Amino acid sequence: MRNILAVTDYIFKQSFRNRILNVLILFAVFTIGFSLVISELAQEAEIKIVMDFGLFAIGLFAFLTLVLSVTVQMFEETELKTLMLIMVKPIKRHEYIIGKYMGIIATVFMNVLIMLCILMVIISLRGGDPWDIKLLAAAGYSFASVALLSSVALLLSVVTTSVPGCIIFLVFIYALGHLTIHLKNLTADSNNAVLKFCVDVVYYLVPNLELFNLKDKIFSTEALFAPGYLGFVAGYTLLYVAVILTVTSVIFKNKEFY
Amino acid sequence: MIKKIFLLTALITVFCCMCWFNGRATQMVTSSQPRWYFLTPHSYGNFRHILGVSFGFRTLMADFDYISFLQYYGDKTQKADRYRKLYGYLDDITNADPNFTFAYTYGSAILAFNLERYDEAIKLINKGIEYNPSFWKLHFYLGAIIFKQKGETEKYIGLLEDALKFADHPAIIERLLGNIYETTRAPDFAALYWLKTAGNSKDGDTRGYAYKRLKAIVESGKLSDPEPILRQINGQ
Repeated sequence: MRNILAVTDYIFKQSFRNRILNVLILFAVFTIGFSLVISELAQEAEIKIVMDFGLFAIGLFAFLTLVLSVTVQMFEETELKTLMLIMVKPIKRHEYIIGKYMGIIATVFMNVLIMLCILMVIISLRGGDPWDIKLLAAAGYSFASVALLSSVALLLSVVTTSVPGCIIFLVFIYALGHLTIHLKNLTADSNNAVLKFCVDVVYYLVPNLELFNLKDKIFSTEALFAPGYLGFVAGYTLLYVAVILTVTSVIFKNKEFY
Repeated sequence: MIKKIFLLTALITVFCCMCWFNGRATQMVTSSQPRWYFLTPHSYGNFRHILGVSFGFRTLMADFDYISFLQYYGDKTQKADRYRKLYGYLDDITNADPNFTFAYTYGSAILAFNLERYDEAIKLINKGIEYNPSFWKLHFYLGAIIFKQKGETEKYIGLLEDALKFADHPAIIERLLGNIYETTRAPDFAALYWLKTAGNSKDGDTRGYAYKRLKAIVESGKLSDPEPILRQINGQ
């Protein structure tokens, strides 16, 4: 456990030492602030637009933080060979993967927390309720979706050999993750068994990110904020992360670096 | 070897549990969301909306459509054309986010009471009712529009007055009601209404408009007893 925490601490600090990530956080803060300007254009629907824009920015910048963190780590590991320095220490490979994962999600969590605090201040300034449970749940599940994607990003960083390849796959999975639920629904009435099987494979392997998309349902009269639903999604996140991190650890264990 | 088999079995078990959780959560989404929620070959004619669905920000696209709608309605040059494309804008907003209830109430009020395009207003409200069956205020607006179409003035005035009692009413209802009072009620009654609106409306533009109308009534010299109104204006 101590080894894992040591790696987590190293990755977290390394992320914040990176200037690009700091600039990204600054940019995220400005973007959230920009929702105040955008809402000025939306007569009588100001709070809705502040919430929608703010939650969109939280989701987007959390994802970009993940992409940048993975990119930076991957670049340092492969190009600057920092991985060699870590591998010679008495640390198991699966401990390194788990520690790295926790370091990345700690970085994303910090970013999401900063953005959420600013969004709550802006909502309060606009006369809305900053402690609205739906807002907090939507932001929390945006973070959970990125936590899920982080495990996939780690797997890709171990499997792929190039940084651009990893990013392209990640963006592709991000879009596909939002579409799997629609694909499954589209093929529900189809008689083509092969098509149904292929969609089912994609549906179960690719993270189902639409389950986490509560920000599109905040103002819905049929909102999905029941504890049962949130529990299922939380359970899904934990198990998905567990499976992906195990597979990543196994691949990483068998990987040759020399 | 045993360790590997154990790991593989555990992994498959956890994967199956994960699939079960995924299935249950998806089932809850499928049963709780209306049919528009899912993409079909005919839904989301606008590319931006498909992009919104793909990356999970469909409601933000509706917000941008709402801003475009406001800019179009605020463009005075479109007045000559009687805002011909207005319904198209409202349709875009409500296609992207059919739960944007304010767009239905605001849009239908403009279409019915300002532009007298009752068919489009009723079509919009019916779309809102279809996607938000539990949002009962839409039935209320539908009633007001139908009374207006039939020319039953007192009935739709009554419904508009009731609409003002809800905190989330569109500010346009306040302006509409004031204009109707100016033509159907005594100037003193209309002036008092505008005075109240100038002081209480949550919308800055409506407060300004109310004050302007109040000034026009006072300057027209039609008030039977201007003293109390002038006193209240000076008091405010």
